[in-house]
Amino acid sequence: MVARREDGRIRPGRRAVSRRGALLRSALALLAALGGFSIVVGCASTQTLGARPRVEALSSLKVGESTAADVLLEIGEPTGEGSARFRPEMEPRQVWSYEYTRIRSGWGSEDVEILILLVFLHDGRYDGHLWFGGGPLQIGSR
Amino acid sequence: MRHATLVLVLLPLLLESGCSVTVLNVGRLPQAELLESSLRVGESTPEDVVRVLGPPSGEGRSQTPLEDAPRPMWAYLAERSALEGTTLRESRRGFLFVYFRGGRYDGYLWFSSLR
Repeated sequence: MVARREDGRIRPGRRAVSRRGALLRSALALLAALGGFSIVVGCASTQTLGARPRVEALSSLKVGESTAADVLLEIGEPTGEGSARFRPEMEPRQVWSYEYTRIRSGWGSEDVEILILLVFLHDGRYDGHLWFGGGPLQIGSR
Repeated sequence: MRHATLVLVLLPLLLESGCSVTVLNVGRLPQAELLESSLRVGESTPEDVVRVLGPPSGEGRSQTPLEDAPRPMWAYLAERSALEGTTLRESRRGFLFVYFRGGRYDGYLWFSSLR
């Protein structure tokens, strides 16, 4: 049924409006679904920051004997550096720091694994280490 | 049609906001060279440390097997992170600890991946 307005223009019938509304709703639903899917897929991933240091290889290093090159070979390239003087009578030690972070996100689940390793060097020789890590730690709001 | 236009305009913004990069810089790490060049172990006071390094981010206490008694320590912390949506693209940290004994500067430990 075609209705005419007072100005003579054709006014779409209720069925035509209804069909257009249904199409619009379908398009909106499709776009919303695609948008949500893109957000989830686009950002769902496993991220690693830094390389995981081979802490299991620390036992092969010998204090006062292994060189900095041995540390690089056994443990890997450090992500940072530093220095330490724990006691007044102690000479400053060079510090190589290793930071490793792995984040898994997406699909409603997010967790983080963190590992920090410090390697101490004295006069270019391996002088000890400290490492700690944890995970997977669930990300959530408290 | 106005609704459809609105969706077409908002959807890219929504997708972009889901993955836009946000950089966070937190805290400040003092110049580490000053630990040896401008402070004297056993002599410098906490006031000297504040004057040279600035006020700390926080404080703590340390008694590791290397130490024969607990020592107060100050912490300087800094972090730079880049987030893309909910994904961490970069995360770098810096830690600097200053130890005290008897009200005097007694040593330090610092390490950083900030560049």
